[in-house]
Amino acid sequence: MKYVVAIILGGLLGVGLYWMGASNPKKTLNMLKLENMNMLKIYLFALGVSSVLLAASCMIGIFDKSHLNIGSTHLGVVLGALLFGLGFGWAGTNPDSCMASIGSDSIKCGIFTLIGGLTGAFFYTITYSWWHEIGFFRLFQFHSLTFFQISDDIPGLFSMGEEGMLGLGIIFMIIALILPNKGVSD
Amino acid sequence: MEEKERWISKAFFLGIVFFLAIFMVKPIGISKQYSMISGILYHLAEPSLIREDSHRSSGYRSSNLYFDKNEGELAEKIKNPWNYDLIFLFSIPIGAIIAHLFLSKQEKMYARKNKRQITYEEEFIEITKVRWKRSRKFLRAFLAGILLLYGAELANADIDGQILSALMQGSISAYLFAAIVFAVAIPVAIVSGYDKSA
Repeated sequence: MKYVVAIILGGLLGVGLYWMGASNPKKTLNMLKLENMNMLKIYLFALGVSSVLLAASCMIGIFDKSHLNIGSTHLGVVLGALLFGLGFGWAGTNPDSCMASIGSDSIKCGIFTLIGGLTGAFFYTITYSWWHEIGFFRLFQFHSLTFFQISDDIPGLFSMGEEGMLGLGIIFMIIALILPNKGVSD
Repeated sequence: MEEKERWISKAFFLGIVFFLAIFMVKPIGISKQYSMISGILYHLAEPSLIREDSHRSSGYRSSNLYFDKNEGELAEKIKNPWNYDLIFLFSIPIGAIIAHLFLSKQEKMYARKNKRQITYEEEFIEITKVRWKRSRKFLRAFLAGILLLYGAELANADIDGQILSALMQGSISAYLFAAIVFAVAIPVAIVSGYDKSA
C-alpha cells in the first residue's frame, strides 16, 4: 500500500512541479532574478495552503504527529544553505525540480543536475567522517525548534499552538495574493 | 483562463500535495535519496562497504560513517533499496512526463500568445551562440548539482526536506536555511545571468 501511495504522491509532485514551471530552470531563474513573480507567488500560496491544512488537521485531531520531522539548527544549516543557494541561483534548479525536469523539455539539464547531485552526495558521504571528527555538527547547535507548539516532543518558540500555524499559513497566502503580477506571462 | 486563476490553481494543487505527503506518510524530502543511490553505486564498486550485523536493529553495518549512523539505517536502505523513498523519487519524472503530455501544448500556446516577438537579428545571434551556450549550460547544471546536494546533505543532517516541507511545519532551522538560500541565490542569479537562448 505504501508503494502505491509513493507512486501517487511522487507522480502528483511531478505534475505540480511541471505545471508551475519549476521543471524549467529558465523560469526558476527568472523568479530568482525577480523578473517573474509568478512562481514565487505559487510557492508562497502553496506553503500557506499546506500550513493551513496541517494546522486544521491537528486541530480536529486527525493528524499523526509522529509524521512531523523537524531538524536541529547548527552551523551545517548555514554552510549548507550557502552552497545550496549558490547552486540554486547559478542553475535555477534544485533536487526536487531537477527530477521533474527529467520528465520535461529540460531533460538534458535535469540529467546533468542529477549526475552532479549524485556526485555531490557521494562527496558528502566520503567527507562526512571528517566533518564529524572536527565536531562541526555540534558547533552552534540548538535543538529542534518550531515557531509554534504543535507537538509535545518539539519545543515551540511561542506558546501558541496550531492556531499560530493557521495564522501564519493565512499570512503566506495574503502575501502571495498582494505580490505584484510582474512578468506573469513568462 | 485568467492569469490569477492559473497561478492560484497551481498553488492549491502543490499545497495539497505537500499536505497529503506529511498527512499520509512523512514530509517530502529528496536529498537523502541521492545519497542512497550514490551509496548503491558505491557499494557495487566496493562490496565490503556494507556487511550484515545481526546485533543491530537495521541488521547492517557500514565501513562508511555516514551510512553507518543511526544504527546503519542508510546502509539498510542501500541493501534493500525498493522502499517508499526511492519509489517516490522515481515517480516524480513519471508525473512530469504525464503532465508534459497533457499540458505542454496548452502551455506552449499560452506562452506563444504572450511572448514578445524577437527580431531576426536577435534570432541569428542566438542560433550562432547556441552550441557553446548549451555545453556551458550542461556543465553548469552538473556543477550546480554537486553544490546543491552537498549543501542539502550538510544542512539536513537527519531530516527529510529543508525548505517547503519543513517551512510548512514551522521549523526554525528551515526558516534560517530558506532565508540564506534566497539571500545567496537571488544575487547569484542576477549576476551570473542566463543565456536565454540556451
